[in-house]
Amino acid sequence: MSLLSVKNLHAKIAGQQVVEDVSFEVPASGVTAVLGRNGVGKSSTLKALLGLIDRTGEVSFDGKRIDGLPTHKIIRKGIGYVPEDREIFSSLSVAENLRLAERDSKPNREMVEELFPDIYSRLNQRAGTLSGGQQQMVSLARALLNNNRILLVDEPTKGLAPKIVTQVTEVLRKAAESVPILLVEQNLKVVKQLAGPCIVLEGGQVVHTGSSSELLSSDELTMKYLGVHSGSKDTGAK
Amino acid sequence: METLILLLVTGLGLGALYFLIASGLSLIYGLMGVLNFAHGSFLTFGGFAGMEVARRIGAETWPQFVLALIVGGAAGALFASLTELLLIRPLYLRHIEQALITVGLSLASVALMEGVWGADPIYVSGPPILSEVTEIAGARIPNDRFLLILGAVVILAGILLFLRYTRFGLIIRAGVENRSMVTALGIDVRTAFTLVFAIGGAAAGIGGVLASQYFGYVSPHIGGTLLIFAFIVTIIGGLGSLVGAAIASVIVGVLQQLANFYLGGTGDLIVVVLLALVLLLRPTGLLGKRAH
Repeated sequence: MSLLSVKNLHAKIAGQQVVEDVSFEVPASGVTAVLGRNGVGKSSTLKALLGLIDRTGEVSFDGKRIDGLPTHKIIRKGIGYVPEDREIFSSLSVAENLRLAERDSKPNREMVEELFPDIYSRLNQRAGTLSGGQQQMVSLARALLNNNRILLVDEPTKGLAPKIVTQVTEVLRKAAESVPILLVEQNLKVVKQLAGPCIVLEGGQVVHTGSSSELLSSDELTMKYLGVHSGSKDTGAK
Repeated sequence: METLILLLVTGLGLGALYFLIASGLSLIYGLMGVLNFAHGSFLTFGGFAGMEVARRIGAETWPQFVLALIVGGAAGALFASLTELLLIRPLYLRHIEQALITVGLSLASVALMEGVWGADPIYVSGPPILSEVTEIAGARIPNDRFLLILGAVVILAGILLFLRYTRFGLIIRAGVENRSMVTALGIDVRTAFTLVFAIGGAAAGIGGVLASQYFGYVSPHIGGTLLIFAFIVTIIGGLGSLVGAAIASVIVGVLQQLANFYLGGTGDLIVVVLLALVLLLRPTGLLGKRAH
């Protein structure tokens, strides 16, 4: 039984078609990876699911259509979003960033504090002055504060130091124990550690679905869809 | 020296008026990306509402005058809220159409107010002390200047406290920085849109009552005249920055007065030159940031 179902999704940014007739299902547990070279429409697909860009098509969450809803109502169905490039509010303090994200009556403050002790020691610091890794932690914390039913996580390890990538991966692994994740990720090492099923996009379209481990262990498939050898760390065209 | 002091305080008073319009303009543009050409009409309507209070119950005592200010502010807030709900919201994210409709509203509302109150200025009075002067270092300064400055400072402080200590304030500050991310956190940012219009309209409405004291009259064109300079102030201060608007208001008001007196009535020209310089050297304004 899938939790999130996408049928014939099309999306445009500034008149340019960025997602074209994309259909896929996200199961109710584990990590589902969205893979592909740069610029194939992975991030746009997540934004289209949330209504952050112009889109048509059918998006169902837990069996109910959500594509007619405005973004804030889609999110309030229990969808947490961790955007590409963090998009924290740099002029606000860390505490304000977290407070803004709290929408449940009982947010998971203790759990989040346990996961991210570093950012909880910097609550009064302006978020814009944090390092990239710390900003990513704030971005993840915002999504984990609420009892979401699914997380859409967009390139959480992008531009981070190896040590921070390990931390982020561990946080996602823990989170995935209780909530399904739809993960856009270029770092194939992270995908190998986390993902079950995968969806591969090319030119805004789904060109492959299946198991991440099968895809990443096949040199032929990774060369064909990702432009890299199966042992590579990242997808191509960086 | 006396002249300089008089010019400085008068410039501050004029800057205070600019700020009362620019504060709303700046917040509205910062949060919503809407260039609101009808904002001057909020001020004018507030001025007329205050005048109507004065006409009915008088405005010679401070309680009466404060009531006129409250009614003026409420009238501005109501006008602004209806504008957002009925005209701006249906055109969400269509910024050109939104700007055009505010231009249309500005023209229509001025014509409507001319129809109701006539095109000629209506002279108003306030508490007698406002018509008197206070002597500072030999300079005889009309008391209404101090009232304008006090009004702007109180409104600035009020809005800053609201932005700093309330959840809606937090949403507005975040929305000015990255509106789409606010919605992606599950927040209905449209409520904040209406609220920002209401706050801006209230400040402009109060500004209308204070402007009628400064000029001695209220007319359907009073808002339009001030709006041009309020736009300049908003751009110089940095779109979306309330403190930037306050600083720019002081600079523009004082510079305008000094240039008018010392450089042969070139105040408006100097202000436009300043605007050009800011756009060339610091396009985001004094305290502005890049919008998302």
